Amino acid sequence: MSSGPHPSAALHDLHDGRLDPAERARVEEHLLSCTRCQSELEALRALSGAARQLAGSAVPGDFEPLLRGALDTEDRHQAGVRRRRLVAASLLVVAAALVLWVLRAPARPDWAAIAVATAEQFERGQLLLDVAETSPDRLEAALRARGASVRVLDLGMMGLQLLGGSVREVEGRRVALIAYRDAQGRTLLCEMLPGAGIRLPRAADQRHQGTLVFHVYALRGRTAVFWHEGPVLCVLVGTGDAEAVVALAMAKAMVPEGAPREGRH
Amino acid sequence: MRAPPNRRRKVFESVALPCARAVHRFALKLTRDPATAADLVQEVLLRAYRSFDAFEPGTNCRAWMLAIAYSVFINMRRKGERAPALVELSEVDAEQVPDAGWSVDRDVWTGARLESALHALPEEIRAVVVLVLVEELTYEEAAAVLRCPVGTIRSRLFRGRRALFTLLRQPAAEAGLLDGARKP
Repeated sequence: MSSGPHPSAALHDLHDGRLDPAERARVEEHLLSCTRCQSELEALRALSGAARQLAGSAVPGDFEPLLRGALDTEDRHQAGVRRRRLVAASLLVVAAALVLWVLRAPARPDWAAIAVATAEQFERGQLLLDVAETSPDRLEAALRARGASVRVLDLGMMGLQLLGGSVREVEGRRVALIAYRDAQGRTLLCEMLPGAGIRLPRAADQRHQGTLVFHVYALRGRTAVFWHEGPVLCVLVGTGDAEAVVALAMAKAMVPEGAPREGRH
Repeated sequence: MRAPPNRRRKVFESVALPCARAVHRFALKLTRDPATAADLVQEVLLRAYRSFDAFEPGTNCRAWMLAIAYSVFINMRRKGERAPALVELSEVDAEQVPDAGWSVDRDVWTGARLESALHALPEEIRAVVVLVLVEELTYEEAAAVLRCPVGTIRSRLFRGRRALFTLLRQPAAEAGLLDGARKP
């Protein structure tokens, strides 16, 4: 038997084939004269052989069918998930298409065209005023009495003479109309209607002033400027210089609620 | 790109399903309970199936699934789901093998005795012994399964073998099988 120290760990490495050639030679030389290490190496081999036999141990009889069943269940679950995702994706596409269609579809009714047509009818004498009144206070009272949500401004300082007004049903909405005339004899119509749910057609131009947005349309030689004053949609329609109509609309919109009518413009 | 479901299932069955037996053996050795082992195998198989796209073809599928198995086992143990009580490492002192008497009769290395000796090992040592000796993974593959350094595999395997020799010597000695001194 060898009198030197037993290289136990190296013996395990030798058995597992993890020694470099020099170390392997050293351990093998020790083995030649050490019966204890020879026995341990033999025991290691026996243990490995026995352990390998365990790899052949039996599994339950229903092992594979059970696993295939679990895979079948998983496949059905995944197919359901894929179906639900497909349905959700399809719904999303339909919803997106619907939104796109609504956004791109022409706004109905076309309030810009209606406002310009009203101005044309008024000029041709086809639209008569319900109330011929030059006093803003009295005209406003008369129009409110007819159920219109309206405020009448005195635009005399801007050279516009008040002619009167009407209240009409247009596309199911109660629309107040106020007519002015300038020094050149051109008419300027201002209309006010309940604005909830109204979608205006795409405007040729948009102006911003504070939080207000002015939608500007040019149609058959006329300029129509729309803006929202709270729940009320206002429109001013005039002929001549488009910028002058826009400026007048902006000035009119900036008059605060409840301000005195005289001398503001 | 994910393969169509039918093709994916076929490939999985041909590549991964044959490894389920190894997973079952490993699970049984880890949990020491057939019912828990069966649950663990099913869970491993489903996880492997769901993440099969992550498996790199040509690599060791058995080692890949054993790694999933060990991860599932650790999670089960953490959650306390029917997890087996762990044996403390100190309960089996690997260094107590006497210097003499290695020539154990081959009759001692029967499957049943080895199984029972394996079950007595602490879990972290048992896992290494099973992976390297039973499943014949390389040290490197076992290290990947258990997510530990190769050096840890080497030292645990050394201690595991020593502990097995200790555990197997006891019944062998009782049966008079040590050093060829078989009882009549």
